[in-house]
Amino acid sequence: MLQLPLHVSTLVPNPHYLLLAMAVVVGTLSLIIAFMLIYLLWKNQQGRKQKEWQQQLAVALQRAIYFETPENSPPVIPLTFRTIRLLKKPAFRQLMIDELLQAKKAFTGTAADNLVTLFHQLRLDELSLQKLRSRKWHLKARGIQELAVMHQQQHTKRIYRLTNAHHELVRMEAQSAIVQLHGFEGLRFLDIVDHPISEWQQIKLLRLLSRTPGALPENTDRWLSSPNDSVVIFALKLVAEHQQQLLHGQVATCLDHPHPLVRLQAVRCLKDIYTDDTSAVLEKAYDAQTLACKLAILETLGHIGSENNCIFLSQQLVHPDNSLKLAAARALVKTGGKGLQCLQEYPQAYMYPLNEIIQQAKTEHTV
Amino acid sequence: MNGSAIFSFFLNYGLWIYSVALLLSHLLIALLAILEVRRYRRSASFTDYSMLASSPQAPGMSILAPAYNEGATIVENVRSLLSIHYRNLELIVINDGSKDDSLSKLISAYQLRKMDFFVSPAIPTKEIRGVYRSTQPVFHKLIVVDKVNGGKADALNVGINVSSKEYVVCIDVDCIIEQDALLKMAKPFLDSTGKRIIASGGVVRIANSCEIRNGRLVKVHLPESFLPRAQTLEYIRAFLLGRMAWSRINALLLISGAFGAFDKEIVIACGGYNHATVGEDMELVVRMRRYMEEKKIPYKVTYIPDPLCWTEAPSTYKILGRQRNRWTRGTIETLSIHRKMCFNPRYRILGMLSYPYWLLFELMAPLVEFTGIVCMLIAAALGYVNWTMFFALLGFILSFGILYSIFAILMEVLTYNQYNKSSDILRLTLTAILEPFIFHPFIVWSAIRGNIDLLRKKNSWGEMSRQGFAGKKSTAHAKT
Repeated sequence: MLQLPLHVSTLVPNPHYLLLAMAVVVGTLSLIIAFMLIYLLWKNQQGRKQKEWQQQLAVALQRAIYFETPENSPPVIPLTFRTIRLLKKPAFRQLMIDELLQAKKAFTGTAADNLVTLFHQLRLDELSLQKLRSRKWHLKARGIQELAVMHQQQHTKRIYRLTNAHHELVRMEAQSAIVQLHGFEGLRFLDIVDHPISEWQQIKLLRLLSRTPGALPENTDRWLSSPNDSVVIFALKLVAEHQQQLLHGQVATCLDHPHPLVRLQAVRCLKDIYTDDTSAVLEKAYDAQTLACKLAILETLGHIGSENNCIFLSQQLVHPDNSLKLAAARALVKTGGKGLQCLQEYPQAYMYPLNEIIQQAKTEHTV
Repeated sequence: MNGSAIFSFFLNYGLWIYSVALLLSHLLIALLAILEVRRYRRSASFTDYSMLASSPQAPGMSILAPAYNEGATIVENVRSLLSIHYRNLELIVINDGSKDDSLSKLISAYQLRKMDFFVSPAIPTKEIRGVYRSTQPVFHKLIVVDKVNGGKADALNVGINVSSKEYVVCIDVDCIIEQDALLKMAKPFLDSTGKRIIASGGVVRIANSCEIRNGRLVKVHLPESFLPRAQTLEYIRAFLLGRMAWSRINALLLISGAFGAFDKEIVIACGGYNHATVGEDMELVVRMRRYMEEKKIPYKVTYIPDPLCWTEAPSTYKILGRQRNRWTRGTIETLSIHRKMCFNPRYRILGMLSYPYWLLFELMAPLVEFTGIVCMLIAAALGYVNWTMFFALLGFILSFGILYSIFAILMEVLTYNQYNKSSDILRLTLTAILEPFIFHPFIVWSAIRGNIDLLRKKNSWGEMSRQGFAGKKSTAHAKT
């Protein structure tokens, strides 16, 4: 029999221990199977109960939406005895909040105000505040979301502090909440935010702002020189979306920014706020840019350029990168008669790959 | 110690240590998967994906759908793909030299016209015969490329060259993609701030027995026959546990070829898909990760646990055997190409954990298992077996394997709950109990065949006949 080193011998199982371990494993899997079956039964039952509750809530919300506040008395939205009794159940209260939030998103004016009244009347704001105070990030974020949708401006200070929170989701919800509560004024969090704002969050904020009346604050330009690159990128998107031609000069300086994504966004922004000088600015900045940025400049020149840019665009046809050649050809075609002439008279216009590139650019333009 | 003593030592204790390490890795995978799925689902509950559907800021995505002899279903499949909710999208169907009427059917159904189209040879490929676009504005997102047959990898490389968007989504044309799949796939790319997301995968589920209408999944059912049902269980285990766990620690090596999104710039910088391997999906991910590690660029590969893509699983042992044979060869080829990374600290978690895990527990597991069985039979014939020990160990290993499968079913029930009838869960549980005796030995044998075929330098895809969702037979991608 082979003599084992001690450290290996200790690893060798005893059949009795293995049988014991097997019994534990079989017991565990039996418990899991039983749990799954009970859970499925419970879930189906919950589903039925939830449908019943939703019908109950639909009636309550309908009453709230069409409620007319009596003169000389505080508004109290009447609820059925059953709803009041069900409100003692935490699951029903959460469902009530969820349904109120959905309804609030769909209504404006008196109906929306009534829903907020109901939110207060049932002290559901206290539940949202409790969540906001929670140490668990998903509860905190949920609380912020609820307070924002129900337009609870009195909690602005508490939410504003979280716009630079360490946890990404809490931070994102707080930033969205501040914009929901205060519109363009809420963008002041851009002054203090150290963490990067993701592209997803930027899309979300732009969407919220597009539904908000008002205009960009006058001092938007300060964000264009923020030390946080993502703030600069977001500010460039804001400038483009709101057609702030007055900031053309500051946007143009972003073409020298050390971060390539800021430079790329600056080019895209200039496409939307262009002036007579834009083409010259872009041509001047071109050589120092990345490939993506160069492509964006050529595309922009196709949109805003004129016959004056033909020489510059023709020079790009010699570049070894085919994507730049194609972008330059497309821009030349778009500039009109002289651009087309430049393409056709180009010395290598009938040689591969330029012949195919020019043909494609022309076909695209015709289509 | 003489030779037989050393052999006996390794047989007894080497296998024991290997098994313990394998069991511990499964426990760790289960734990990491719980954490990652919980994090994802909590975070997704705050996400309004519809916001991206209409946003002009949505990043550009090109769906690349290679097709080979898919004439029976191609028109329906393309129609289904064109209905995906995404604004900044182009759909590139690459007809890889089909011998059937795929191209003519597409031309007639979508009123295609051959266009002047310059394709930049960023990645070398086989010759392109023509690029077609529709004359109907309603199909403006569709581009059909006709090329000389060169295999799936070559077709995908053509798609990458043709693509004009920032991200490419590589799919199997016969898969059913959920309507909101691209919105969900785009999010990780937009969410990241510090690290560059180079690839993102989505969970693939089995569509056998499901109700499909007009190229859309209408109702989910558990597959009726055993083989697809065993694969359903296998996919739940692999995607909901395995991939999510690896994604949690940013150590994922594989994104399924059926559905994955990639950063085009990095794909081109890496040279695109490798057509010299049959495991081109895994090889690309490994190469992209290796490239990022070598360039020292912070990056991440992510995975989404939502069921986004539905595929038809092989329903016969013959086709399943071919598929697993190919998967084994693909894994060996990929690990062989990138062997430099094995236990190489320069590649950090990729070299020190992902690669060794795949080598030891994915690639070698069937070999170890097969060797163990052969040795066991010899030892039994010679009367060397301690039967008490044997049955205790066998019982433990089998029960642990079943527990792992049952745990995967539990995760499914607690999260996506696609099979929400108690009877379905009981059938899935029964499959988990039967799997080690019927399905698993076949998979091990197919893997062994894969090893043998590789030694014999057989590198074909093998014909993959499918029944088709509408009952029409089609033949999946094959390199001739």
